[in-house]
Amino acid sequence: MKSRYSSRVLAVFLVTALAVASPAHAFRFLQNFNTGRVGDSPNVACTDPNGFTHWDIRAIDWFLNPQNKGAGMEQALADAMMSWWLVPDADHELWWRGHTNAGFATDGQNVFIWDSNDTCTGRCIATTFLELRTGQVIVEADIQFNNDKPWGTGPGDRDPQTIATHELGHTLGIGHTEVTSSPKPTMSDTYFGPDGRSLEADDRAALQCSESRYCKSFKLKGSGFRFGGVRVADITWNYLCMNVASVDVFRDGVKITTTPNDGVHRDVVGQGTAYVNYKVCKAGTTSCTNLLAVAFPPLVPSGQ
Amino acid sequence: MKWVERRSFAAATLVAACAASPAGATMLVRAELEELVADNHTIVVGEVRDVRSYWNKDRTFILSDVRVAAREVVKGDPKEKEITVTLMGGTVGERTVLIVAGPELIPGRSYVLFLDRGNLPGAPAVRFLRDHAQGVFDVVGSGNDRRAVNQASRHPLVSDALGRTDAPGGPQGLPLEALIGSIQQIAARQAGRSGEVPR
Repeated sequence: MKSRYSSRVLAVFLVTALAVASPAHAFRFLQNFNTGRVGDSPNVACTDPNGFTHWDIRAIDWFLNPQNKGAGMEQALADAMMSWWLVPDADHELWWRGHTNAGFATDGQNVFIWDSNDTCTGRCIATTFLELRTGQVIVEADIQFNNDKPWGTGPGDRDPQTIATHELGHTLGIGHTEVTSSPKPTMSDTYFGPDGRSLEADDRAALQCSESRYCKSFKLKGSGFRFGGVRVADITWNYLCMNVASVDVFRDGVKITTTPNDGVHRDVVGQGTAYVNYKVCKAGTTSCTNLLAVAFPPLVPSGQ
Repeated sequence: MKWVERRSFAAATLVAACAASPAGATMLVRAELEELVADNHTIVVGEVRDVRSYWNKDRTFILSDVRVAAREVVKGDPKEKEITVTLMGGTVGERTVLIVAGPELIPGRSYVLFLDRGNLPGAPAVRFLRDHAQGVFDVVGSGNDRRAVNQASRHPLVSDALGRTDAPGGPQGLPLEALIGSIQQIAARQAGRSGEVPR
């Protein structure tokens, strides 16, 4: 009886600790459900009921038009693309497809281009367009850089990799974050030079959240640990993808709880085997995630 | 009761969506009002009548023609009563081209527009917003309290040579009549310098 009470206290403590430790994300997304809008876009949260712009394909091909100052920019652009490709648990693949003669046009090719024309002239440094079809699905994006600006990493230059990384974020539907503290995310609303080349946690979380919402399948992930000898499992799933109020959590084939569909559950398992299997289903249905085996580290005998 | 709650939620959502800060991806260097006046041949205060979006001749871009009823031509030909501004982007059928952080002109609303002539994709020699969002002031308020708020104040601007990043007038904007007066003075001064007759 005492042990059961202790487990419950421990569970409450752990759940509370987990809630307190949850990071506050401030990433935002570009929304354009309002047909007829030609520019601008509300900057909305991942859970916005009206959704936001997104791709419905995994592989996105990018080309460089090597005219003007675009010549020699291959590495900077490829590195910018790689930053987004390497986001953990993100399915998008940004493929470098080489050179093209295509310009800033809706021609089916996603293009980087340096040009001197009225599309982006004078005080404009770079501009991006998204072509959307119904449902805020992005089907094409081009980024034009003002060829008349100094591009490079010297004083007064604009760093092409930094700006490309930021603009690529927009082409993935990501807006400007509300995080203003350091380290500044790449999707900050200010240009701060080459420090913006690398993505921060908020940038990565943005892409992960977008992909969770506009997902192809329900995914369950997790890990196990021991707390005072008790086995504890943390499992997470792409809850926005499931789009229901509550889910059933199964451990080794047995439903252990019905819980709000918030994407996270901590299970205090108690003593027992080295691993257990979990799956999460939409409550009352057989629409489920993958089966996940969570392993626990072996008990270390006391005195060692 | 639930229906009322749902309606309240929907209304709150709509308000939240409308009030949300727009994002920007068209990166612009901050301009002085003097520079905006110098670089644009027509500056007009007017109300947007309608917007017509269409594919350009080559079907390579969606453009939008915005018809503006001029209330006052602050710089340019004062006889112009109606001006058509061409913007990149718009919706035709099921396709939308969105210029991220581009200027937004909505029918029924009033603006101060800084216009130049230029070539947009497949549309030569059209009147356009050279300075994108920075060339548009929203006219807000009514009567003597009307203010002009630069659309770039919603967006980050890249600092100018003096390190300034705020759009002309900042997020609070300027009294409309004061802005018009300033533009007229600047235009007259610039015309005098170049030997032109100010209009």
